[in-house]
Amino acid sequence: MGLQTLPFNKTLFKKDWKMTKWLCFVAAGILFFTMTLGVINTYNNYQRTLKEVEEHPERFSDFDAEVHKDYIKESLMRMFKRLTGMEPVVIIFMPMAAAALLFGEEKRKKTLEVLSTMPFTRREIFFNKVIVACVNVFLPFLINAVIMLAALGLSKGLRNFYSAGMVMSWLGADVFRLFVVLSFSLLFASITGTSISHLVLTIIFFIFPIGFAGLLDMNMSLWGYHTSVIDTFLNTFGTYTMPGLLDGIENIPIVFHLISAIVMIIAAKLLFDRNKLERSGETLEFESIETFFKVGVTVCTSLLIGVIFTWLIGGIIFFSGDVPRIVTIVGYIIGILIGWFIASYSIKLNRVKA
Amino acid sequence: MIKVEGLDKYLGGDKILDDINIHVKKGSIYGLIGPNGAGKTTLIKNLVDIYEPDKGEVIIRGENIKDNTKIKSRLGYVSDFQYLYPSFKVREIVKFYKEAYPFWNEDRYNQLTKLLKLDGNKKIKYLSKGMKTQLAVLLTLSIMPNVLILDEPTSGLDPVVKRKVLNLIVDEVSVSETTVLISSHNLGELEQICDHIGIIHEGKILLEDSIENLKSNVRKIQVAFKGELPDDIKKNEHILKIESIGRIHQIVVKDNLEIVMEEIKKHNPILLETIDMSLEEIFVYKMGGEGYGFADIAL
Repeated sequence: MGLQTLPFNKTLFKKDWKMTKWLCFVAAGILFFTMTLGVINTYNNYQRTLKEVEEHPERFSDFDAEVHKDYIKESLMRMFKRLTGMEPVVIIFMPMAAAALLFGEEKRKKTLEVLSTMPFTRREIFFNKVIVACVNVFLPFLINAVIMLAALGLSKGLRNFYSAGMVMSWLGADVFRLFVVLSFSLLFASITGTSISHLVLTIIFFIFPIGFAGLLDMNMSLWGYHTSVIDTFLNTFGTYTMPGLLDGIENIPIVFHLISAIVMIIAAKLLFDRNKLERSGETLEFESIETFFKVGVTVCTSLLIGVIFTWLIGGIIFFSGDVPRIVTIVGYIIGILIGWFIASYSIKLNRVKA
Repeated sequence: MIKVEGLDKYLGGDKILDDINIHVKKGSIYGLIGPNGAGKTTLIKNLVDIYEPDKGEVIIRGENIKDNTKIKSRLGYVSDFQYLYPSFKVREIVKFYKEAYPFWNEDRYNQLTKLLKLDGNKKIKYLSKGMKTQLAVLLTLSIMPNVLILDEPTSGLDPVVKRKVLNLIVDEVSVSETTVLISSHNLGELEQICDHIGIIHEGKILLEDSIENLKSNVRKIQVAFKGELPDDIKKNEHILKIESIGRIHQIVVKDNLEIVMEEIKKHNPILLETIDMSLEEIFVYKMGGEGYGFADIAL
């Protein structure tokens, strides 16, 4: 029995990396300027403050160097444990953008057709894209972690403020979050035919549990039902959703997310194998989910327009939120029409001609 | 070398290809012709594993093409639109092909670059359609293909470049015994290079034959009589079409040239000669004989 080797292909890797490396460097730059630079300057800033206190003691009458140092240490600890600044933005959008460039753009530009005529298997194409996506999303964090560790090695003073362990925990937590978001994005890359439809659907489903619960809650309020069921549901299961990944790492059910990420990658691979290249460039790769997509968009748009319409009419005509229910119903109907039209039009617009 | 058996393909619920069977022999140049929307590009995309047949299979060099890297390493494909990576420079795409194809031939590549002058530092998105096609031909011939599949490779090219590309293809076949399948709307062009022709119409292969057979089966006779064209010639069942200019009549005959010639000779013509027909004329008359109106098969 022959051993099955991993389908790593240097040529494909180099090609995919060339297409997407700019994304990696942009993310590394964003992280550096919004986080790392501040961290590695901590000691200098602290020293500058001490000098200032020494020069102008009258301005800092209550200043206690130790208290100030503890405050900085605590801030840094919080920074390493919680997502701050541009970090959550990078964690959410970087994997989505990488997957969209590697899959959606290749489908939209039909370069995937060229690849399929070349001596590469589908397995190799998928596997190498996943590897490049991982490198793209992990590398910016790794580069910044290395910079923070190098600064720690070069500056004794910095060691009073943070440790290598803190950097490594930060890196581990973010790599875990990135892996889960990337798996989620890869799943949508396998069911959509363009980068735009990929990004739109990934973002919609990313916020779906919270967004839909919020929509339901607002609509129930319009009809006079005030219930805490939705709040209770979100409080209990919120960390199991994708936005829940942005919570503190200690609150996240890591095993659940890791298992679901692995399941999503396997599903993405199986769906990618079933992708038909004649549907590249279409909104959805599978005709069978078009109805589900239309109904989903219609329901959500109806609920949203129902609320907006009620608020608008209430504000303009009735000058209060207390409006006849027929207004809300009219809003729902307008929403159904708009939602169905948008979903159908987006499918029709991208329909590939025979 | 290339064998397609019972291939069906649906696109968007419509049956685009219906029970396609073709056979291309090793070292031959096979021209695939048919009107717009006949299914030529869909068939070609099935041949190169872009599309997956809904029924039937594509066999190249004795093996199914599906996900077959061994066959694809010697399979050259030039499409009607060149979907090469637009952000890549010419030299980068050359490097990509060089690394991807195990039989890449640097000498051949260097020879071809002398013929097709391309700026290696230019990005593909800035190349004209003709330049992109030249690049695709250059890449495809440098991988040392033993099967070449070309989908309207000369459309949009100027006559000089068109001639260059066609010469390269013919040279390739004569030097390396490469099997070529080429689709084109330009029948005159195909006539010059092909030895076999397949006609596709509404997703079906209507006929497959050598150009030699096609030409010997459908002939044109030029004839003149002192008086009118005799009625029994007009009614002859082997005659596909008669065109008359004054007393000169051009008669298109299907399959039974000798019988018609004998019939004409009985009426003592003052002029009697056979004229070779172009592939385009044969195509039109053959389709007419198959029950398709000229309007249906206009290229």
